[in-house]
Amino acid sequence: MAQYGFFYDNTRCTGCKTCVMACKDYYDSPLPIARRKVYDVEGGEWRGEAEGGYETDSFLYHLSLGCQHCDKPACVDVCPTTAMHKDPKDGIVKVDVNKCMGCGYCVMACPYNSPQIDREHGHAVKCEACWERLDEGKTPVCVSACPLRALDSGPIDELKRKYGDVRQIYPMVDPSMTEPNFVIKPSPASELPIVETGYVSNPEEV
Amino acid sequence: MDAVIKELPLALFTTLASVGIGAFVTMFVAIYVNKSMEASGVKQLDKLTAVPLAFCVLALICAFFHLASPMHAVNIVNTIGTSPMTNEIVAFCVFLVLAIVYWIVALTGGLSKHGPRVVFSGIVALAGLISCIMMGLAYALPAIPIWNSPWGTVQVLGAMLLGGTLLGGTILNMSVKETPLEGEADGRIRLLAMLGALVLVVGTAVLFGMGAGAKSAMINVAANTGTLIVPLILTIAFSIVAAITAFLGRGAKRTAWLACGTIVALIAIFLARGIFYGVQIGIGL
Ligand code: SF4
Ligand code: SF4
Repeated sequence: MAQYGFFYDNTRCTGCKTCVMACKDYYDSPLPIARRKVYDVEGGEWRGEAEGGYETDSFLYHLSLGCQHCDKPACVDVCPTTAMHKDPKDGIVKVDVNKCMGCGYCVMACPYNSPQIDREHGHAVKCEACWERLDEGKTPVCVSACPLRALDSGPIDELKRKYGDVRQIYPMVDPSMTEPNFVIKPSPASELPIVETGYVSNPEEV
Repeated sequence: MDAVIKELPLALFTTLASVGIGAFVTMFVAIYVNKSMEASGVKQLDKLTAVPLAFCVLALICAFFHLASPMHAVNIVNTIGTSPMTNEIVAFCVFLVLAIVYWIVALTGGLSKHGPRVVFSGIVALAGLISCIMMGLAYALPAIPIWNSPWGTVQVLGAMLLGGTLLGGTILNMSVKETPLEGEADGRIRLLAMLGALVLVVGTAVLFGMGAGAKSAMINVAANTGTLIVPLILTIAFSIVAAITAFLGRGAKRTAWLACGTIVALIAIFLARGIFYGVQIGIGL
């Protein structure tokens, strides 16, 4: 089976976080755990003008991310128990909960802030692309739930053909680092020259 | 700051382990230099070796508290040599086993001759040194550029030298009554304590500086730096005070000074490790 991946339309997303809540609900995740996270990225400023008006270059956009099921997964590379593994069947990066010791090394290694430690259940958790649903011919819960149809998933080659090959907007890392199986349609805000002065305004939420 | 609280068991692990290991290194240096240690002193030293050993066992317990499923830790056998964390755990366990065997053999009189004692304590010290290096290297992750530098390892080695020398010095001074750490052995202990303080302070200050200059979309770097300033100042002050105690007093008073120095060094190292975890600033999200 082909490598599975995600598409995210940054021009459509309104940051409603329905994807996050649908995922949390589906997996009955404890409060601090989210397999998908929406980052609110904002920046710019308002400046007073001599005539009394105001000028602004402020911007805001959202970034919905689960796991990118990377071709060079940093989490898998460092995992001391081999619990974190890439399933050869579909390329989805999964956690074997019977092996995981909950050390949090994968959490430190992932540049996409994807895995988390669920201390209640004693292991790492992360987006596994709802592989059980895929096996039943369904789509991941987040993809089905998004009211703006900003998410899509499927074989990464198909997604690339359909949506292009952009894999990074600020503040994501250079894709050469882990080779993520993820494509994105950037919004105009995410391509502003001042975008790198922006910051994630909801760090407590993610 | 959240990272510091989350990693508290690891901060305790690295603090206690580096100090415990350092004490074994100090004991090796003293045994190597001091060929004519009187038998009663050696016997007492062997008994007191339980103290650094207890530090190391406590460190291991702290490390286990960090794990969400400690019972699954046996699975690390699959990644020996490939995962830096496995290397860290295995190196520490090898050191600990060697240290326990050394202690038992020494207590049962198996190391009464100077030669075998030097060799065995040297092996334990070397295993400890390797363990400290692995402890530092385990954090060299590309996703966290500040950690992906030699400075974390430098900090651990500084902690090992400062805290370990003082703890080792304390038990040596309590053991070798007739020649309480005088001459060459004492000179080396002073030198090691000073060197340890210097390395710990430099390593911690560089980590702090890198944290202050970092760029991050996720963390408010200015606020984060602000919360780490007081721990940095205290680390520097406590490290200097701890190193000074290596120069104070004679006889029983000297033991008391060294013991106080060990406690001050433990605080300095714990704060320094807090700073290390406080500069966990990711490259991306
Ligand atoms: S996004 Fe992170 S968790 Fe997912 S495969 Fe890549 S490195 Fe691993
Ligand atoms: S938390 Fe589990 S999956 Fe993550 S690195 Fe540790 S053992 Fe591997």
